[in-house]
Amino acid sequence: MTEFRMPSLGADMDAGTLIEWTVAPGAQVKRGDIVAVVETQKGAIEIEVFEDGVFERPLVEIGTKVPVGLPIAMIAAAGEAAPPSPAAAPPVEAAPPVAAAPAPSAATETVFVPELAEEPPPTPPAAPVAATVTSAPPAISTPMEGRPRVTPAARRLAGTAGVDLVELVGSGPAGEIVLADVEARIAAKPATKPAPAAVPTSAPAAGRGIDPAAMRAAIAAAMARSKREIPHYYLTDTVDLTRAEAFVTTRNAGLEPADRLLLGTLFVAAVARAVKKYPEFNGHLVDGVFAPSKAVHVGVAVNIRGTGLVAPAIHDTDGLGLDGLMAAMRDLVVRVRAGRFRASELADPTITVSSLGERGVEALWGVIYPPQVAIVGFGTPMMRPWAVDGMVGPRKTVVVTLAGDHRVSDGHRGALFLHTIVTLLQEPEAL
Amino acid sequence: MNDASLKPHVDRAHALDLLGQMIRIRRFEDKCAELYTKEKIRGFLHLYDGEEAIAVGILRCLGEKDRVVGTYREHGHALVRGVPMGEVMAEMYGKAEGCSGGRGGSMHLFSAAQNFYGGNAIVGGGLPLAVGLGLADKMRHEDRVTACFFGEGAVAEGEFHESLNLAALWHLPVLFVCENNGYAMGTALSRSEAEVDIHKKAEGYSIRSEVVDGMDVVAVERAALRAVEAIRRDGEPFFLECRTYRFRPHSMFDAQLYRDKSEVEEWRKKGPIHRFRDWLIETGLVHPSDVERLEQEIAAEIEAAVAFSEAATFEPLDGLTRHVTAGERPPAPAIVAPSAETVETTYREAVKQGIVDALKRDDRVFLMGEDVGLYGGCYAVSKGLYGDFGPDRIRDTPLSESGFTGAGIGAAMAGMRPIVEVMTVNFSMLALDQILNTAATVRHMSNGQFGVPVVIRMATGAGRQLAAQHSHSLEGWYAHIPGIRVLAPATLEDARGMLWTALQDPDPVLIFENVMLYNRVGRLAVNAGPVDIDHAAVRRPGRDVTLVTYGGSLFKTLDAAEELSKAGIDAEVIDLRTLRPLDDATILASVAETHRLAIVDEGWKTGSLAAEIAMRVVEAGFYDLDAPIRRVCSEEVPIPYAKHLEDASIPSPAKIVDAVKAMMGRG
Repeated sequence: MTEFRMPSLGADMDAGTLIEWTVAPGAQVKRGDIVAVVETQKGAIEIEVFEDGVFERPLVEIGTKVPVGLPIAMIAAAGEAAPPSPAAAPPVEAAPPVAAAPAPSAATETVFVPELAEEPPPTPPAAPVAATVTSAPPAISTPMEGRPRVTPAARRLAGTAGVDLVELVGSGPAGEIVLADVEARIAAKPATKPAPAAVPTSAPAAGRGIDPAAMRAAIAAAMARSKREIPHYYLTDTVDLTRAEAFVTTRNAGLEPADRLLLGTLFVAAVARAVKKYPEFNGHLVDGVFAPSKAVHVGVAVNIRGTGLVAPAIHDTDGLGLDGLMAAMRDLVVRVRAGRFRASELADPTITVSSLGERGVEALWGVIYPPQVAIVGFGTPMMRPWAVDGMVGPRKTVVVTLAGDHRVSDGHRGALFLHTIVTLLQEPEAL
Repeated sequence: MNDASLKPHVDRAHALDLLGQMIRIRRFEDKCAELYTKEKIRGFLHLYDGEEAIAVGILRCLGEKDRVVGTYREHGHALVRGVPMGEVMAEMYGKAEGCSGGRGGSMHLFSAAQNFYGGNAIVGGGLPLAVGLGLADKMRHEDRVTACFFGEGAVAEGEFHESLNLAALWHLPVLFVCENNGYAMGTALSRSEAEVDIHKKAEGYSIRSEVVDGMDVVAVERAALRAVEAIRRDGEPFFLECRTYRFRPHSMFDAQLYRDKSEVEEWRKKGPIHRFRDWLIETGLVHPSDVERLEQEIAAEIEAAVAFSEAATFEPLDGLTRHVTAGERPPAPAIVAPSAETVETTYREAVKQGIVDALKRDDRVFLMGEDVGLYGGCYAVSKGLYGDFGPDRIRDTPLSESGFTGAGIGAAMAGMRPIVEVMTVNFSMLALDQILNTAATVRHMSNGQFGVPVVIRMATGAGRQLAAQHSHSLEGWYAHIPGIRVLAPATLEDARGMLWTALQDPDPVLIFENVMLYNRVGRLAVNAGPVDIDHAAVRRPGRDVTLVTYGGSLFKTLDAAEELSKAGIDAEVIDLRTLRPLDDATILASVAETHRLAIVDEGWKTGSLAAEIAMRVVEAGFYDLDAPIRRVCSEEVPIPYAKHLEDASIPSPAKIVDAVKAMMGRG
């Protein structure tokens, strides 16, 4: 006994609907005989058997759509023993393989009831009368807007040479940055190693003033990237500044204002010292790999009134000594506000310190400047009730915070790092 | 030879052979139908049930050296011709052991060993091919007959009429066999032809013709014997109309809405197998047990063929692009240092000297086309050659582009080296079927058994105020087609030297000659000879921008480059020379240096060759680009007649200069 299957009559035939059996159960059939008529998308086609035998019974009812390859009838080979009485096996009901297949059931019907009860989506408002119809091809040279245009070749060279594209002003026909712009920049300064993140300033090397819009755009880009990519964690502590303030007062006695030491200098010095012990906060994360930096170049955030801020590096912060550091910080602030700092100073910080100074608020939670992995924030030093040796009294304190990159460090190490800063500020003479 | 000898003597062995071959086809087709329903065989499957007497009767009359051109309903012909059944069946299975390596399928059976030229599934498309095979045999005085089978549907095609005319005009040994089964797919003859007596159409071309009962194998064989003998004797074509009927649908998926069952039943009574069998048994020539034995032998052969096919293997995927072109090409001609001695000449003369050189070097080479002979070529390229080389080798053709291009293709397949000249690329559209569906595909469809070493030359381009039907630049279309090589000589050296190298190529080569170049004068080394046809050439080195162009636009581009140099822009100019396959390496190397690319292409911009080049550079050289790629192409208009409009519609030096300046920011 063999199964007679829905034949495939063309590559585009998936199924056929049985419309007629041309032989009755029990009939002798021979190879080539037509046994059924099947409706297809091309019309009714007679289908033939390819063996001799007895047409035992159909497996499919008239009107059923049957996919190609599924059995539609049983045929006994010539000479094969007669099957059990047909009466015992009612033809159509006894058709297990097909029942599962094509006949549309009530259940499947309901699937197709479209849920049209809901309101259709509101139609968009009528488009304004097209006043812009034009057959002209899109112009290649449209004015620069939004994302700066950089040619592929310029982008590749900038990437390999470590040139920051944001620093460049395009000279292409439509203001795009082209190869020549990158080459000119390389000729003007040696390349830095890893391509630094965008840093907020326009090209100061060219002696131009700071473009507030460009700076804002650069800050936006860098901070958005930071918040997008860096999983920040935050820790905080409060530092008793009694000893630090006493140290500064003593040291500044008799000095000209220009030579006086500021508390902020101690903060930077303390961070530079502390980070030597905790290298996972000092360095750059590039392409998923953290490269700790041997040198400590603390970036000091400097506010530029009405424009934004930058955080250029104080190179080798840890080796300058307090006086050297103070001088470096003064020099930096003056130059930043004049827009005369060096590009390398923007690319080099290995960690940033942001200090609100005297006119701020209680605490500052920094946003890490990529590719750096940590930023230490100092709020405004202020008098707070403070418990010492079981007594509460007024003390000058400052809230210090750490934002760390969780891809590189964890809170435990962050706490130790922050605690070291606090401790160092209790021994300012050692800084 | 008297008439009696032309009547086959139906002795017992002969009769059993005829009967056996017919049954063999019938049972094979029957098995194919079965296997199709089981999805072993896919695609279109056209079966020969009912028509067996024709293939059997005709092919018995051919010798080994004779040639056969079939249609898409050609299983029976392949089997009778001697292609092993296992290979035919394996082809249906799409297996590598099939007679076309699984690349052709049911409609494209090929066998070089049996001189079986397909398996041609463009109705009417096989006829020009047969004319070409016959032409090659005629030119070489070879005693071969080409039998060309086609259905009555083909007689409505232009290629039918072109081919009959050519065969008669040139006295070619071709047996045209019309298998008239009454239906072109589902369209009855009376619904498609005004004159339903098909053989009468041959009279219009002075071709002898005969009508024969295609259901009677003895009658077919007798008619074929007479016809083949006449062809061999007279060197003239012959036309046989065999009236027959197919019992099965046109193809497997055909509801036969167009004919009554009763009609099929009527014809079945005339079935070629049972009538012949019954007659043989009645006369006692054959015993029923003989038939039984035949059936058993055939069943065993089919069983073995199916087993062979089942066990056969599929071509590994890494072989996908094998046989698109020949695996091996002759080495590029040696570079000969140009002699210091030069002569002043024209592009036209250089092309002509190339042709003369080829005709002298190789007697398989001949030139054919409209007015290439006495007229001297519509662009006077072949002027004078008719007198030097004669009408056979400088062969004037009727205005039947498809017919004579196909004839060139057929002659090339039979071993000749034809140079086909088509007046302009616009006219070549009439031959596109032959170029695309035959020349470019035969090697692949036949699994590398047949190649088409034809060269087709044509004029291209605007500038002569010939308006929209003589002026277009459609070479980019041809460059789209795998299986052919497309050349565009621009310089005198290339006009002189590309032809010979092209003729050595085992595959079809198209050469496009821009009409504006023919009069171009220059100096050519006296020892100028064959040049390579693989590489682009840097015609002007430069640092700032790469200008890629070819053909007629080369000199416009070089002029533009001179103009640009005055503005301090140093342009490099690349002459593509070969449009397919493109020499990507030369283009990319240049762009890697200049970082800017503009393409000058006289084709329309949309879907142009320029677009292809630009995209390749974007794919492989994106990071080298320092500016958007520019294209200077023809405007999107049919080329107009008026001079100022024509000039405005195609690339010009000024347009090229403007485009480059704009991309350099110097606009």
